[in-house]
Amino acid sequence: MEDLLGYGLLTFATLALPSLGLCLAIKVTKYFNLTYGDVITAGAFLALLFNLSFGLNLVWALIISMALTALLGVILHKVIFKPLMDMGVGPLTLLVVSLGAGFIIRNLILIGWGPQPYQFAIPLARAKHFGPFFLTPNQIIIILVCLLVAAGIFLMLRYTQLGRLMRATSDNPELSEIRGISIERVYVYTWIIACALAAMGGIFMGILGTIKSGMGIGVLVTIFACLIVGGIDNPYGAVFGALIIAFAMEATAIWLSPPYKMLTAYLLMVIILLVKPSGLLGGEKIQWKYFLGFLRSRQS
Amino acid sequence: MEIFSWILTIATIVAIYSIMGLALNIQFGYTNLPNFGIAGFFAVGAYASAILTAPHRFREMEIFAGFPGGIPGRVEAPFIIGLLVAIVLAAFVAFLIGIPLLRLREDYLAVASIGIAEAIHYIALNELWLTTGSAGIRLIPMPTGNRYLFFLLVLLLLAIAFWVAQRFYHAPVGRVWRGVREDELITSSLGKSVFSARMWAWVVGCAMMGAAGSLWAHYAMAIQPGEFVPTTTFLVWIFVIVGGLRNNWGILIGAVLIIGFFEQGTRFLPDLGAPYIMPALRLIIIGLALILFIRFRPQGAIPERARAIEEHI
Amino acid sequence: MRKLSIIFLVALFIGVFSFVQPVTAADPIPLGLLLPYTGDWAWVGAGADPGGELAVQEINADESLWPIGRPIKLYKGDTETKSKPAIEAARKLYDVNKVVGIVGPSSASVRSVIPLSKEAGAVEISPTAGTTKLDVIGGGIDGEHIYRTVSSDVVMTAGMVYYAMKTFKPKKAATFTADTEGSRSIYGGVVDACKVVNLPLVAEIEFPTNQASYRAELKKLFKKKPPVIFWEANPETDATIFKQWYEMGLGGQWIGSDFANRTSAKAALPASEGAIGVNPGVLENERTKNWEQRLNKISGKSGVTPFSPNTYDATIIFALAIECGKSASRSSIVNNVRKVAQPPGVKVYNYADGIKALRAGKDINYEGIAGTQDWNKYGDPVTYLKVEVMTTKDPSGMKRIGTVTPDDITDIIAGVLKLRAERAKQ
Repeated sequence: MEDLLGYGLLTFATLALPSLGLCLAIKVTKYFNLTYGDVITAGAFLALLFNLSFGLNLVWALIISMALTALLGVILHKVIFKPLMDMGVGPLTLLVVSLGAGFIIRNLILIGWGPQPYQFAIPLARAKHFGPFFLTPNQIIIILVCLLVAAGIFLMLRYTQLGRLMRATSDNPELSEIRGISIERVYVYTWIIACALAAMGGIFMGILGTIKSGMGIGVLVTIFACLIVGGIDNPYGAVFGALIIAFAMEATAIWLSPPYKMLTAYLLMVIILLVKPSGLLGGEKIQWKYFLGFLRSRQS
Repeated sequence: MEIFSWILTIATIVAIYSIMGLALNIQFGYTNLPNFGIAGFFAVGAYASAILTAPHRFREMEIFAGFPGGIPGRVEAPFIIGLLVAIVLAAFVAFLIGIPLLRLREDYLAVASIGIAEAIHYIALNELWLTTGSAGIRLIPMPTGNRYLFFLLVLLLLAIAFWVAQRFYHAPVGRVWRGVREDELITSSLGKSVFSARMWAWVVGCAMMGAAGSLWAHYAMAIQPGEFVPTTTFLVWIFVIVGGLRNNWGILIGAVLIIGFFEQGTRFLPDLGAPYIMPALRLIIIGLALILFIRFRPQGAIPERARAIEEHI
Repeated sequence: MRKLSIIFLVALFIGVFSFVQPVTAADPIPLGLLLPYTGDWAWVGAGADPGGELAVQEINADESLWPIGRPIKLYKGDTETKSKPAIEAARKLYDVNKVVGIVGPSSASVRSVIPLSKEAGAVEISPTAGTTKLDVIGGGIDGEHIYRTVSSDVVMTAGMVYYAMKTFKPKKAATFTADTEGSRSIYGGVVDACKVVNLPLVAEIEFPTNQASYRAELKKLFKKKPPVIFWEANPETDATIFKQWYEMGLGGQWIGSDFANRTSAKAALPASEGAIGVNPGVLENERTKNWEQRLNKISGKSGVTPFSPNTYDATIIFALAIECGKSASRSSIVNNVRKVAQPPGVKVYNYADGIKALRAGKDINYEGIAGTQDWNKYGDPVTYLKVEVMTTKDPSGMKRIGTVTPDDITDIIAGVLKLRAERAKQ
């Protein structure tokens, strides 16, 4: 039982921040961006570059990577997605384009680093018993940092101006535009935050496991499961979904069979889609009708 | 000249993928059902055929090497049985999945279908008694024994698929589907069953993907779970978009362009240093091609002829 | 109209590619080298490749010693560690490059390529495929001219179990293997070898590769505290397994096969310090040391990269077979490949001696770097095994600590083959 707690929290720590980031991105920009998985990979590899090749301390590498990954996200948005959005393509086309962009990033990383797995240059550690947990100090730090950052984002959303702007833009873009908010700037800020979170998630994955070019796209479907289970239009839902999926996956690994971990995630996702598509904490349906209309009017 | 043999290989692969492209067109182009689980139905068809037509010898080899003998290789059925079962099974799975899934809004359907494909991939990987797991199934016989005849067989099935797609475009059922796409409200207010139209498109399209999978298993003579991954699904999406949604001829051209030249054509060229660079470069080029195409030609290579809304009724 | 012009362009494109060149006498003999250069087993391709290159370099070094007066040219194909790309690459090698035979591929795809080689009427010599599924096919039976210059996994697993018993004298053991073809082959071999030496297995865990966490599996594995664990995965999975094993403080001695190699060590150290690998190696003597130096010039690395001796031997055997039959046709190679690799004949230890002996009209028996390369009925040899330990003290990640010779393990191998024959009858 103590295993479940510990491993569940570890898996949660790797899923929570990327889920939160992707949720914000989808909520504000209104399309499923599948390049996000490869952004996670890019975050991990950038940190690897500074940590392994340039010999920096992992903490510094993390900070630099977050900044660079955020920059990458903004570049992707400005160069690829914004022009298409201006042309009036629908969200499904954007989804498919995001796949193409993902291919490009993933394979550039593959060319640069090769197919073999990498590890961060951090010392090995043995797990110790901390109360009901059996974890290494690094792992405890990861969990704490994840919780802190998530809390920080929630506070930001609720109390800062940026947070208000993001919520306004996602609730009603046209009205926000009329009232003088630059939608484009909100998009950029959202991507900065989302990609920084992705980098963090990728680095956590690297600390707990290995770093390879397929790591991000591999976890993307699980992240979607978290979003859908928790509620795709609710940031709290994203983190809550991550909690549920993480513990469900680890429970399956412990009591059923480890290979079926992933199947549990998909199963939960499909069940929620059938029973309550807006997710456990979701509920606003207005955006999606608009979404559909957006789609129809754009197809020629 | 043996170069023709190599061209034949490419042509066979292009033809098989084209069947899937036409199927996706029926589902997404005509009926607005974005199917991102193509690889899953492809796998269902491929595995159904492989499991049924694998020779006894395959099973014997497995057992001798100390592995438990599973179902593959027990039956050694002829090709046509494998093909029929592949089609029926894919259709059946599509039907079962469709009942709950087709009620969903498009984006949810897209993501749910990814999950379905991943679940199928997982079963292929882990249910050893059924599929022998990651080692895959080998020694699948090529039905006609001769690659040239097999290609003709594939062409025949492609022609049938094309006919099906075109019929659905022109026939009354097709008009309902186009109506469904253009405006659900009007179509449903006219009393046509939206759900039934969607289910037909879904099942027929997935059955076609299953058929493609069956052909694939026989062409490749060996299948492994690792082939039925999202990358396959995305490749089909990419050439369907590049070829021009809704236009069946355009889709064939898209398949030739994308699958033909990028997947296979660059194998001609010399290595650029480390051997993993070329495949990576191929995928980068495909990604770029997609983005550029959509950027500069959102209708794809051949745009659809415009029709007025009244024609759809 | 647009459709027609596109078709025309496509035809033109293809026409450009089908430009055929006339064949002259000094034209190189095309030989295929089909390896997993990418994918899960990219390290196999990377390790084996220099062996092939070295062989070709030595064959082509002296024009007067070229087989039937023509140099050898290697055409490489990438199997991507999967069957389908392997089949396509093999097709291209046979149909486009017109190779006279193929060196390769690995266990991941070898059985899929066999039908193609049969169709092409050519010899296939795999320098890396240890899969036990080849134990009863090949060697020319049924028109399947598949041979190996690497031992079957039965030999390697016998070596693993032998070494474990000799060095650690355990009362029980366990297996921890991946669900891939190569790993299953090892698992099957270990299980049978343990039966033969009466070593009970208290846990037999199988897992999918490339997962993020193996903690649950590791827990199951060590439930009954086995002192020795026979394992097989891949470098990436090894990195995760060892990191988490170390973290959980579980103890035990890991013994692996050819997958416990430098690539794996680089990925899994320092957590995997002390893990042992029993894999194909060379007998350490003057000749092989010399060979190793020549190899290092080509590979740019130190040490004997995995499977390079086997690839070297396979390529040399092809060249000798061509000279022996005085022809580079596929059928001639089929008829002559056994003649040069096996007794009877004068023992030759390198390519130059082999060519000179053949031209003097003698029968030869090529004794390779990886082993004597004397093939049994099914085209399989028994090669030497080396024992290495993963350690941070050696810059390459592994240090050699022993050798297992065919004599050490003949009894175990015989026992395992008998077990399998009995099982097949049921």
